[in-house]
Amino acid sequence: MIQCEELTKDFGGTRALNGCSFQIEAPTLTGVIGVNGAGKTTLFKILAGFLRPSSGEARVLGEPAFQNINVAQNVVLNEGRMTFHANATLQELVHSYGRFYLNFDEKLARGLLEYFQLDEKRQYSKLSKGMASTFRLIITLAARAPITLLDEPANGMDPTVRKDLYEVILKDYIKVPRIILIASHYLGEMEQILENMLLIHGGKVMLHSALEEFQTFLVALKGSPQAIKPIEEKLQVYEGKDFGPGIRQIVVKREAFQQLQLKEEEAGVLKTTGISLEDSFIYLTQRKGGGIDELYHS
Amino acid sequence: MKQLEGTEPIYLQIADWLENEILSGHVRSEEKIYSQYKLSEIFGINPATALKGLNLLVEKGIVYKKRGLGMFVSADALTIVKEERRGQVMKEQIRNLVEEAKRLEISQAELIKAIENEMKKGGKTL
Repeated sequence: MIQCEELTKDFGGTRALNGCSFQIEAPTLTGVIGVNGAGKTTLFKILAGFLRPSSGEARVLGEPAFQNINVAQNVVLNEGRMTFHANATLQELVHSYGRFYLNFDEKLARGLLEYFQLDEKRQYSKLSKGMASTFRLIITLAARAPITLLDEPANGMDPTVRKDLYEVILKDYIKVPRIILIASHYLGEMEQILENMLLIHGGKVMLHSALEEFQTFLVALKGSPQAIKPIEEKLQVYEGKDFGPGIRQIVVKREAFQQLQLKEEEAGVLKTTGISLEDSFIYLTQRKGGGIDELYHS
Repeated sequence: MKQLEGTEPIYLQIADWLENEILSGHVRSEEKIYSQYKLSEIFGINPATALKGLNLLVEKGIVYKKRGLGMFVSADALTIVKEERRGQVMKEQIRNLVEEAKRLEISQAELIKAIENEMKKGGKTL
């Protein structure tokens, strides 16, 4: 249903996407993650047909996405910079979404507006940032589009509302399974509702996997410097830290570590621990060399 | 919604939780176990993740599928879970205990004595 082949997008001298390829063929709740500027928003805008790729191809429901009415009716994009008519009330916006999206569930939209205490007669432009985010998410989900793209849907929301919204997203997905992609910086908060992860880095897909594969991609090894050193020399190390004398911890790829096939007496002295999704993300995307420590020590 | 925590993959946490439900007798042999969607609701997790947790128990023989009816706790479920925990969990805990004993310079004899005392005192076993 979504096929991206070597997508590249340049804005003037800046390359936002740089050979981005992936496919999604079945309903899924997928987290799209990446540092600021990694290309997530550009990717979403290309999938929604708003932007034309500089090169490569984005096919949605089998058709090229750019300015394609068939794609537009089946893809809904929620992002913070969406603009609506200046005086439009929430009720009017609900109606206009209802006219455009064939599967729009108006009853659901009204129910959610009531639950989140959003008065239909208010103007969208008068809402606070968090309320505007909540409203956009409501009409986006109610559109029930086969491909739903949520770009930072929780921006400006307080933690209580965010928690509610993750539950709403999950329940809505279970009710009507479809492709829902969520780009968010609140990784730790929403990881449990996700099935898959798509990590975008430097305009490319760095990792596209099931949640648990992402979670076990890296492993932390702790032990005496003597025990750690030979491993550190053989493998790519994402982070190395000394915990006082006698204990050193390194973060490496789990698969690479397993391939070393250490003997029982070598492996037995190491303590291996898993790494949270959020930390995995940080290790995988951090800038190479230098680092904040070095900045402050020079 | 129950809160999950820790760095272990969610489906493993779900499998663990289900095993605990079986160990504590909340779900018995030949009873229907929580469905994928029920688990999804209890923990607020993706149904695909919940299914991976259930499938892990199927692989271990703790749970079996009845066509069209869902998943049920197998007759040997308790035995299998206990066996597994004895093998892995106890090994890990004993390793930590021995490590700590070494650091504290507690002799082997002292450690064994302490374990014997604790077992007599507690009296209760699983």
